[in-house]
Amino acid sequence: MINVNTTQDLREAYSGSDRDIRFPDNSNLLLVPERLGSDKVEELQDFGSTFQRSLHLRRN
Amino acid sequence: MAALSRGLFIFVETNFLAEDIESRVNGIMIVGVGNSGSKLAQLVVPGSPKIEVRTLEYSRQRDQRVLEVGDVPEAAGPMTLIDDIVVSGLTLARVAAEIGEEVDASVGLLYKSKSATKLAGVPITYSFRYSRDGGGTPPINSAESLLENPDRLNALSERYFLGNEREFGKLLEGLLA
Repeated sequence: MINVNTTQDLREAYSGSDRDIRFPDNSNLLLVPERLGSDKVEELQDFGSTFQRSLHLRRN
Repeated sequence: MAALSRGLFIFVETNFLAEDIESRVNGIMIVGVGNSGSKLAQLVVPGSPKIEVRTLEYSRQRDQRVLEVGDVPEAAGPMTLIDDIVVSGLTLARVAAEIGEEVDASVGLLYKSKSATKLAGVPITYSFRYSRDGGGTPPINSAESLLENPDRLNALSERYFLGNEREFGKLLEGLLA
């Protein structure tokens, strides 16, 4: 069982033989349609964390 | 504050899944299931046929959804269904019932659930079998399916991104641009 907290974790899981993965209980998973460059993935992940912070501020 | 604990995005790139599926189904006739499953199948074998699946009645409980299955392509031999995400197993079960012939499935992500594999009723190979800390099913969707199904997008947005629905929609559109 591999704990996956980031897309990078998922990539590392992909390269291994253990295909049982576990996501944290706060995860929203989104399949994107094509291979993205690392810059784009980072941008999307930044957006996710920015979005999270934005949501946090609004909720407060 | 509850929404904060649900804010983590993990992006699963479908080309990773396509490469993995290709290694398992080489030479077998594959058929994409639904729009996102078909897109994945096209990445594996361009020109692969598709079986349409339409949600007639949406439910957050995936195994309670009412589905309509389109025409099944003719196959000279065994057929492997391709789908990106299998959660309840309902879609595979409905499609396999329409085919009625020798069929199995190769999927990207399979929710780790005995009931899902039982309901699907067909042998399933997978790239990843996933679960979630503390149990339950993490919300998982393809960007494409969400944009094509406003009911799903609205339900997910209202549950997890209330007040930020438009930003979430823009994020999805940006992914597909």
